[in-house]
Amino acid sequence: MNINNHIHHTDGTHIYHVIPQLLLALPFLMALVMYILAVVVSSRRHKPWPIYRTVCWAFGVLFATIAVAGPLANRAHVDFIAHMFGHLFLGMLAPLLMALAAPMTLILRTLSVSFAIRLSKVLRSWPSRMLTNPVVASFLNIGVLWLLYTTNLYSLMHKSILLHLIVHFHVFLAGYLFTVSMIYIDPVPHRTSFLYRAIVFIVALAGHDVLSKYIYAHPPNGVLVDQAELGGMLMFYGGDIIDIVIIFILCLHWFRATRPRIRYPIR
Amino acid sequence: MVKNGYKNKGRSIYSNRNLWSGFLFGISLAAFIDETVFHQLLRWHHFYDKSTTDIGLISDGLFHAFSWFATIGGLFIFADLRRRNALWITRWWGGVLIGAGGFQLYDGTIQHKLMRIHQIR
Repeated sequence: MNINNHIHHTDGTHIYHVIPQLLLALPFLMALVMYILAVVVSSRRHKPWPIYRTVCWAFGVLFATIAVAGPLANRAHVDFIAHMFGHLFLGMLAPLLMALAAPMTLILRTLSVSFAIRLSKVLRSWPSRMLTNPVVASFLNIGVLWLLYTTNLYSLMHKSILLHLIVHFHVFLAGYLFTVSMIYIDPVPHRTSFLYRAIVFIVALAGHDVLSKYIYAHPPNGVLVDQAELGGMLMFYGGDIIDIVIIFILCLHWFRATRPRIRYPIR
Repeated sequence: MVKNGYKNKGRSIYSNRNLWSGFLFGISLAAFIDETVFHQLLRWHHFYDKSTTDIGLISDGLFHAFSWFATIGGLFIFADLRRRNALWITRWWGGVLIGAGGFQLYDGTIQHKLMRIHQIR
């Protein structure tokens, strides 16, 4: 009886883990299949799609999937350091890689002209303008992270499947919005200036840094002190490494955009 | 004659940009040395300690983010000056020294003493 109970219990938790993991991983795997289909279809009519973009998308999907399903996701329920690796993969690395893959450009060149016009109308609409504003995207990204780690949300997330799904999708989508609001790989109808993006980015990165030190000092509910310390440091330095890529691309775009139009004589 | 005049023209148009580029790079250079040598190698500094005030934490975060950006931004502006033939290297180094000194002044007196971010061993 005892053994039966035990088996039932592990089975129960097993299913509890598997279904949300499948629900979280499925959209990413579908996104990979659709991206590759779009590459194949559109490359027949246009010039071949750059291979590095497909590679970026595949690695983005890989890191997002590692974060939401499999051994790392299982450990993230009990281990805050595993959770933080998952957070860096899902909320920062995967969005960056997927933004570099220019999915909107790919969709626009794959769709028929009338659909593409409709889609670009949606992209130019005011909700899209609002969501891709750097300030709004930063609040959705960093602001909600503050909510997650400084309130009960973090411990509630491990009890409710629905909340677990919402938080994980949000972390990815907000990370993606933040990335595309800062670096323009895809066509952006309403651009903001480099200086504006640089200032908002610095404030957002500071918010991320302060939060990681806050976690170090004040562990979220249910997290052990030494795990919170390691997790906070991982968030701080891991975030720095990924953000340095975004800063580099932002500055590179500035460098290209401001190139002198007059030909200067060589000294 | 024209060529010599041109060289000085580029410098004078972008003289502020030379100073700013150096200034940004100087801040980030001092911050980089602070982070790698004092935090990571010598371990004189700490990631966090209990005496840290909230304002110290915020200032430290903002400063860290700013200097991270300034490293890359400052060097891109340097490259921009070079391609415009407007680099004024002594002015740029002056900016570097001001930036590095400004960082030390702010970090040493205001952040560490007034705002009490981690005390140094």
